[in-house]
Amino acid sequence: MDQILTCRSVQYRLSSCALLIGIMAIPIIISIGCSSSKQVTRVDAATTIDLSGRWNDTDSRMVADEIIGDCLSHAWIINHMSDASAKPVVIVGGIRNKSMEHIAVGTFIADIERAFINSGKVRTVSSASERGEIREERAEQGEFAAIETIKRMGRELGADYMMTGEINTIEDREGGDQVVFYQTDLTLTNIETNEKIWIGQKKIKKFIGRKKYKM
Amino acid sequence: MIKTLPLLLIISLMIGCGGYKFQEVIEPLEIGKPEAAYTYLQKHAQKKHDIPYQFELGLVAHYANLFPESNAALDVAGDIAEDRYTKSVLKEVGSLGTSDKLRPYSATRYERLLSHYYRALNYVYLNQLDGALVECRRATNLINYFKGEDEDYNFFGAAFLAHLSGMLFEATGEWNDALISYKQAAEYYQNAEEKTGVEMPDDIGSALVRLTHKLGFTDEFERYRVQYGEPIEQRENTGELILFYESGYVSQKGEEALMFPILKTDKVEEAEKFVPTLMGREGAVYEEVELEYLLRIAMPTIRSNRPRFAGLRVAVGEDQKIGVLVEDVENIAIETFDAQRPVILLRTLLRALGKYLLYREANKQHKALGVLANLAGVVTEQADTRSWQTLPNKIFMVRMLLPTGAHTLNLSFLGANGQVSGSHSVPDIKIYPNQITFLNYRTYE
Repeated sequence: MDQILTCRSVQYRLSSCALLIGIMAIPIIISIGCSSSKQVTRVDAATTIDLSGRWNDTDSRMVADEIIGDCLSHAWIINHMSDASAKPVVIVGGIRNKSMEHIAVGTFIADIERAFINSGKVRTVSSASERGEIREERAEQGEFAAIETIKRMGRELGADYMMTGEINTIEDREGGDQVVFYQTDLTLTNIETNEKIWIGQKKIKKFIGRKKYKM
Repeated sequence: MIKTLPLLLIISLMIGCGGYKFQEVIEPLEIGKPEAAYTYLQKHAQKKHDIPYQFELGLVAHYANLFPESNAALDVAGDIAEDRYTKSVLKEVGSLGTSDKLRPYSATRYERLLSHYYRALNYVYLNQLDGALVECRRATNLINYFKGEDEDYNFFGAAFLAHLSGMLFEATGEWNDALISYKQAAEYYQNAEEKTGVEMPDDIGSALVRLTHKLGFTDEFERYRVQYGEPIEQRENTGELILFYESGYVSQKGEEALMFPILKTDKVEEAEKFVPTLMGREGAVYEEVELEYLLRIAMPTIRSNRPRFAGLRVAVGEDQKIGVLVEDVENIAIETFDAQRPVILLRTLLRALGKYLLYREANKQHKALGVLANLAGVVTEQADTRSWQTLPNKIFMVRMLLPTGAHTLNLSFLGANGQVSGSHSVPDIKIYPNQITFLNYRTYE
């Protein structure tokens, strides 16, 4: 090695040093490359964080709040109250995902139910899938629970209205630029008469830009 | 120039790092233990999960009935492929000096489309048909993007995905979407037929007749009825079986060494002008020339790897049906590679010439440095052979109407001459009235 370092030209000595430093730096570079760079930070659940540009928790919450806000400010509630002298009972039925993304419809339905219940203007009953479990529990209570605590059968609250809907997307793309348009349509139908008493719509448009090059 | 030597050596070491071995993945698969292949892949995950790894993991998980895990892996692969629209200048420049392996792998178009086939099937098996439809819409969207991105888009893989979408939309009663998908499938099969060799399957014509009739599109119905025949009435208490039979492995990319002579009269310093001249020397034979240097490059190559089983016959009781070829993955892989080869060769020659000039410069200064430069050049000279290796070679499809109830499918695997070369029975396949049951089956021979 000494021989190499004391060679003739200055330029060559510099090159050899660069080579030596390079070889010595290999393990350091590899270890840097392999080390974990993960960092976890707690953030407020209401904070909007857009990572991929896809439908996320903020979209779900925002659409549910706005669309239900619109639903509750319409005349059907007053009409129902004057006709029935009671708060309307609503069930959230199927909301179909007809978009290009795997949207967690369950979370969206939960957001809608939350918005309904927290408004205090309507009463909300369990959906078909939840009812099965509750009925099973009631049936088991009849067999295993203390008599004074048994809940009676045939006392379920029947819904007056059912909310159904779908989420659609339209996507346009050119090179690295992408525009995604989400449209959520919800319909409230009178279960007895099949009359559609309210239709709500919420649109979200997102632009996702990708650069052609980065360093 | 000499200062790049350490970098070359470092990169040569980094390129050498590998995660999993393909042979170790396929051995358990071939003996019917996909769970073992999945465990192996998980144990040999690279620090930075890349697209080929995620593809293999996703497919192996699919065969191991780990459908959510399969979707997760294939989703990651898709997301990375999307993000790789943005090219890293450093990596592109770095790859020009070292190896194409340094370039981030973006997956081929047909690989990206086929990942939606497996994702859609995963959702079918999870009994989440809405999820399967999402995959169909994503595939449609991707095809539209490819069409918009490239005027000469070859539609490789697009026809099969549109065909699958038609069947899945039909299975969920989305007649209009199904009709559009079948129409697109007909167009795409015809567009790609010359290169893929896959003709439009007959069931598409029948579906067009059936759906236009159902939707009351009188004019179109009349046109399709004349073209494809009368609609087939489905008998009561019957359902449909759609079986996809996946055979063998897609052709694997290999590496071949090619030699290009640099003559004493060549002006190598003008690389831009000289590389096209070099490209023209591929396979040339010289009798007497004054040779300056023999440039050795490593190029990826792909060769046919047709499986032993080249077809399928399904028998259920008295009913029999022959599988129809719906996707020739090997042809698509070879055609895709052939289209990319001139650009790969150009880049490889440019890089090899750069390494040669580095060697020449180093050698002028000192013989030992020349040896080192040569060594670094040789070590980094590796062909980029990355691809989705566990994909099947061919996909066949069988559509048959069956009575409601549980059935045993008797599968006969046909050799190239049409003779039965193997068989297997799949019991307890349930057919529901007026519904479609989807199934896929894979052989590796």
